Amino acid sequence: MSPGTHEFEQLVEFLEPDQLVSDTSRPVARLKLTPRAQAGLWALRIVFGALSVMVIWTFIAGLS
Amino acid sequence: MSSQLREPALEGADGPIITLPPLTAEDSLRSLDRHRVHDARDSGRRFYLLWLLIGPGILAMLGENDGPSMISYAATGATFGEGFFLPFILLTFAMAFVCQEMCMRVGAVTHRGYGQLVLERFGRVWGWFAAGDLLVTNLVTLVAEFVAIRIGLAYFGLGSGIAAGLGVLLVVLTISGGRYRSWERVVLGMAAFNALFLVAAILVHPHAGRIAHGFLTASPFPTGGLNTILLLVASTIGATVTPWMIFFQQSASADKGMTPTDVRAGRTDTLVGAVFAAVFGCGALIAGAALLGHGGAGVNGLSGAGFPAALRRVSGGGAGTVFALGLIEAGAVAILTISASTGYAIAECVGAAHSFNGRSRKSLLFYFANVGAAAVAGAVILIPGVPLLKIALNANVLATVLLPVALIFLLILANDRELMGSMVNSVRSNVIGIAIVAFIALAGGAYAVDSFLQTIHVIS
Repeated sequence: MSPGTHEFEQLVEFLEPDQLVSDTSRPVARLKLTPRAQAGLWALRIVFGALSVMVIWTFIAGLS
Repeated sequence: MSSQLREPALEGADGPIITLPPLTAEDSLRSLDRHRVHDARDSGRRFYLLWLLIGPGILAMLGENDGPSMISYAATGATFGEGFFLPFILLTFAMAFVCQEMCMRVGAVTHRGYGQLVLERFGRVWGWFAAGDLLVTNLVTLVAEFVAIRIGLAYFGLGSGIAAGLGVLLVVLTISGGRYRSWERVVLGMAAFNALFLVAAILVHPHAGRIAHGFLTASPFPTGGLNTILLLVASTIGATVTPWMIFFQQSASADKGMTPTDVRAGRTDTLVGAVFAAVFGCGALIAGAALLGHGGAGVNGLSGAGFPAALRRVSGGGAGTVFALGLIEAGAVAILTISASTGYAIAECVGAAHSFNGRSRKSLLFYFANVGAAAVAGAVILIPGVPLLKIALNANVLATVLLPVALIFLLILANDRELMGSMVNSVRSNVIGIAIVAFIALAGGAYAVDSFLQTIHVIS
């Protein structure tokens, strides 16, 4: 089946409108986070970033 | 096939009345798959419908029954026998089901992958953090997958060059079909061989009473230092729930074309995957437990052929061969799914096409990231002197430590009423989800801090 044919265009009915690439390529609206939520996410990021560094440090130290 | 078409229009009496958006080749291939789903649903063929809709859930779960996970289960069995960890594996897969069901639902409702949604909904910084975490854990885990293939092949006298070449070749061959459906079906067929670990468990003639006792009483509890137990708990969690699974199942559900009407089938897909993965994971642990009392705790996975050779000595050639083949399968399937999750994440974050149905130039980055991730990891195992076994064992722990952040974003997305409408998380899902995040954070964090303090000699 080639693009531009009748059968090709008929296929669109089996997809939901928001499933088309043209729609999924459009960004969804940005979520408005409260300052408290922003701070919470950054705190989590820093804590788990630090924990990851500890795991990597332990791994590297274990090599020597 | 050209990727971009003219805008088709429906003709009314006075000319065009509705303008449809441009169709791409990706749309057409996805709609062919949806055509089959509509037909099966309309004709009431329930099992055929389920057959069409299964895939992302089973692949995420069996993909996570990967090389390092199976080595980790076998090592646990060889060190502590069948006891606490048999029911613990069931618990971790129950946790994995809760997390993966959310990914599937968000993907089916929004038709967007996890990386794309985090980037668009929370901003570029968070999107790139998520993709960066994934890239690090995926590359480490991919190296571990090549290690598993190498251990399996070593049993048959084959070297690391073949392991590296085989892994990369598999990625190239499976993506060359140019369709999500063909990729998914090929990988599903390969993943069925994860059952080899169950066969291995049967071949070691385990003691049924001891297994039943382990499941029913979660005992004997492992003995040893706190750090050893924390490592085992963290690596067992990392063997069942990881960041790549989140990226993979959400993106694959969207790529498959799942919609809110498919969520029930998606749940079944995820549950079936979790059950199979738990059974096969327990199989690996039971097979490993055959080495308890036979020097199993000291088995080095890379000197000689490791576990398969040890099993051959203790339980016969059949068990060793099946376990070796299982490791090759586990590594190979995980290389395919983890490479796919890397491709999805990178392409989603830079706004490139991110589908196995994509055939245009815009999809080049997606395919390049798929092959590139596998090629880099494959190259690492060719470097002489690289501590491969240590990398394999640490891959799961690193994934556990980085997982809570990814899960928190997933929980926020699954509760986002603007995106999910009536398909948002229920109160029960949220309570269980938050408990899982807290448990994983505690387990990963405790191991990280305890190990670090020991390393810098603050505690002994």
